[in-house]
Amino acid sequence: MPALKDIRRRIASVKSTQKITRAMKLVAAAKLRRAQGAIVGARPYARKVAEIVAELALRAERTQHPLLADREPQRVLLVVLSADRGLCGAFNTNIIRATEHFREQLSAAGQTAQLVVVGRKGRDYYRYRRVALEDYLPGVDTNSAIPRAEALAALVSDHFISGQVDRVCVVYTAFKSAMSQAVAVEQLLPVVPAARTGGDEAPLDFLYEPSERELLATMLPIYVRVELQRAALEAIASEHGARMTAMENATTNAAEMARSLTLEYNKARQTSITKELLEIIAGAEALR
Amino acid sequence: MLRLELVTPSGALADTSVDELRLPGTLGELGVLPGHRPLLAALRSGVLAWRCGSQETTLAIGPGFAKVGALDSVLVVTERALRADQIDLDAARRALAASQTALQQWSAPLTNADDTPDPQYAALLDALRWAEAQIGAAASATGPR
Repeated sequence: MPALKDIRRRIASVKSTQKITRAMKLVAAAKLRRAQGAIVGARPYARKVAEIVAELALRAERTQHPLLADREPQRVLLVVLSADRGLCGAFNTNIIRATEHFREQLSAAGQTAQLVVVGRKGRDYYRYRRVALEDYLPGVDTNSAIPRAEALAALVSDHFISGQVDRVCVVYTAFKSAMSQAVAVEQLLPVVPAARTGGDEAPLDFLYEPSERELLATMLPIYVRVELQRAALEAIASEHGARMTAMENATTNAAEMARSLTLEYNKARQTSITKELLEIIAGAEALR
Repeated sequence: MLRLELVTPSGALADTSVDELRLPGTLGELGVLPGHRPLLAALRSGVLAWRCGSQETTLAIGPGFAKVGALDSVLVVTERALRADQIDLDAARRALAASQTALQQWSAPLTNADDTPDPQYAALLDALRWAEAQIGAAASATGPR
């Protein structure tokens, strides 16, 4: 039978953990609200920019702009959006698992992967396994998403244009709701042209103003930046959603644990009282 | 009727039917009426105006793109946009004056060694055009006095 004092100490510890998880849950919920607003606002813009770019890419010659260059993929750059902090359920694990899975697929196809990791958790994973990273950037929050996306865009564009990599993919967590997020792997570069719908519809003959080349030159860098920005905002909202859910569960579990420990404590107390009584009675009997 | 969608990073600003649309193209103002040819155009900071019946709406928009697609659908994406009633005219005038002074005093070369525009100079020009766009949009909303 565990000593009463031990149980009391455990109850106190579980209760203080519960206080922490509840506070973390509230913080995550507040941050989630902001992050959710940001991603919901950013999505239509990103979708429309992507729509126009896909339209342009469909008609443009692949040689018209370096970001369209469709080379045989030998080296693939993966941009992995992980978080700085843990305690957010399987958020980081899922991202890393998807990245590893993708890396295996690439190496099975004889292609090499280079990694650009955002967020400390991702970096720590690869550092522990001694996998060299192409680059590392600290994790993002809602305020730093825009400058971070700009830095990332410059980085991946440089790598792609200089021919160091032939393909750029982003691994991020798409935000659905606080309860559900899904890891997504998307190709960023070269730009994927719009799918010809059915083929029965004649492609529209667009007028370009200014020239097609100039349009591509201004549009493509914006596209890369906007897409990375959206992925970053998705990841931020997902992280807070995952953390809120995880902390919610932790708080419930702590409450449950405190309850069962209190029960155990009361039982133990009862037992020891009964035992003491028996001892006293037995002693009194013996003296008679 | 044209179907106009106006989208910015902070959300969709308009999704309406309009009779006529004027866009600030990089090469000059573009007018769009129903039945326009499919067009992809780059936009600069300026005044975006549309008319629906007798009602005119003007906005100041930043650099962006416009797509006139099939079925008279018009899509405008821009970095920023302000409705006429959201514009702080005094602030825009101050920004205009500030960027004009800064541009007049500009003495460094306009392009870098690798022939790309100097980012600071480009930012100043951008600020100037944005201020002009806001003043223009506010002025045409209140009408000529």
